[in-house]
Amino acid sequence: MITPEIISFATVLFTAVCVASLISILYAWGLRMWADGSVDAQGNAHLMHRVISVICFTACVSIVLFALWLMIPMFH
Amino acid sequence: MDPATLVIVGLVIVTALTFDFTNGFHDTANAMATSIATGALKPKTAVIAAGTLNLVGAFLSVEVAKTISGGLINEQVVTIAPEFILAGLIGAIIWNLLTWLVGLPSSSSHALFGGLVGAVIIGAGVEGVNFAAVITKILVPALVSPIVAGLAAFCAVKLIFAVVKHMSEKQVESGFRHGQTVTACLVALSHGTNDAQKTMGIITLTLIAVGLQPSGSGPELWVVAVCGLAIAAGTYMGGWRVIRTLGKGLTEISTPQGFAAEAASATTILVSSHLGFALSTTQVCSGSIIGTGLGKKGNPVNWGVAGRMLIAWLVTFPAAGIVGALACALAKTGVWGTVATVAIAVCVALIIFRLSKRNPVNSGNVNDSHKVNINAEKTRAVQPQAQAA
Repeated sequence: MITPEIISFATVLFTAVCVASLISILYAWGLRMWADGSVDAQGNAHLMHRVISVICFTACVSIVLFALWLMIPMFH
Repeated sequence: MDPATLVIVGLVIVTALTFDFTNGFHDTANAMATSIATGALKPKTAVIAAGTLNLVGAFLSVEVAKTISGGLINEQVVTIAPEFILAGLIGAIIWNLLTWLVGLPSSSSHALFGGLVGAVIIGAGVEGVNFAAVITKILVPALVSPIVAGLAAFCAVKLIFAVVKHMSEKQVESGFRHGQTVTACLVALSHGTNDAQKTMGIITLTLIAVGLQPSGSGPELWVVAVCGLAIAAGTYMGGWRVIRTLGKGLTEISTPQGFAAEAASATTILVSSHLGFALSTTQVCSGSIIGTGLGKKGNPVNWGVAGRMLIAWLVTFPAAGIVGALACALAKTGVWGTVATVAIAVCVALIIFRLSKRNPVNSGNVNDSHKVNINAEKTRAVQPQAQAA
C-alpha cells in the first residue's frame, strides 16, 4: 500500500534530483560555452557559444531568484 | 504576575536565546563548510556572510511556529509549562555543545524536540507524547534526508564532470568558486528564515502562556530582533569543529563538488519544506557532501565519520530527551530547582568549553586537518639523527 508519506518522499526525491541536476548542468554548460567562446588561435570569435553561455547563466539566475521567492514567505 | 513566574520566564527567554546562539554556531557548517574547505571563501568572510544572511533571514520570515513542540507533544492533553520548555532547551543546548565538542553535525531541531519530549514525560507523563509523530517527524526524516540530498548531489556532480571534462582545471575551479558562493548563501538565508523562527515561537508562546502577550498575537519586534541577533552571533562565532568535519572529514571536496553539494542542499530544503515534508538542514547538507564524494571517481568517502554522524543523528533525540528529563525533574520542584537547573547547565557548558580548549579549532587551523580530537594532538619529537641530517 502506498502511503502519503511515501508519495511525499518520492516527490521530494524526484524534484530535488531533477532541479539540482538542472541547475548544475546549466551552470556547467554556461562555463564551458563561455570558455569555448573565447577567441581561438586563428582569431575567430565564437559568438554563438557566448550567447548560449549567457542564456545558461540567465537561467541559473532565474532559478536562484525563484528560490528566493519561495524562501521568503512575505512574497507569496 | 508573581516574582517566581517572572524569574522562570526570564530564565526561559535567556535559555531560548542561548539555544538560538548554539543553533547558529552548530549550523554554520551546513552552509559554509564546503566553501571554506575548497577555499571559495576565506573562513572569516564565510562566517560573516552566513551570520549576516541569518540575521536578514530572521526578519524576512514572519511564519513563526504555531506550536512549541511541532506536534510531537499532545498539547490538547498536556499544558506545556515554562519549566518544561526550559528543561527541553537545556537538553538541546547540552547536546548541541557535546556534538560540537566532538565535531559531529547534528540537528538542533531534533535536539530541541527530544529535550521537550523528555521534559514532558517526566513532568506530565507518557500520554503527553505523540509517538507516531516522533517516528514520522524525527526517525524517518533522519534516514530519508541524507538519501534524498545525497542522490541529488551525486547526480549533479556526475553531470557537472561530464560537461566540464574538456575544460582546464583552472577554468573549472575558478568558475565554480563563484557559483558555490551563491548557493552557499542561499543555504545560509534559508537557515535564517527557518531556524530563528523556532526560538521566536518559543519566546512568544511563553509570553502568551503567562499573560504578558495577548493570545493569538505574533512575535513582538524585540523578540524578532534578539532572536535574529542571537542566531547571527552564533553563526559568526563559527562552529569550527563541525565545519572541519563537514568540509574535510567526510571527503575531499573540489569547487564543482562544493557547488553540487550546496545546490542539492538548497534544492532539497526548499522542495521538502514546500511539499510539507520537513527535513533537517544538517542531515540534508551532510548527505549532499557524501553524495558529491561518491559522485567523483577516486574520491573516497570516510565511512567511519559518516557512520558516527548517522549514530549521532539517531541518538540526538533520546540523548537530548534524557537531559531534558533530568532537567525537568529538578526544575519542577520550584523556582529554586529551576535556578539550580540553569546553574548546573551553565557549569556543564563551561566544562565543555574548557575541554574544547585542549585542542582548539578556529578560523586559522580549520583546514589543517580532517580530524577533530578532544585531546591535544601529540607532536612527534624531532629525532636527533634527523636533525643532524
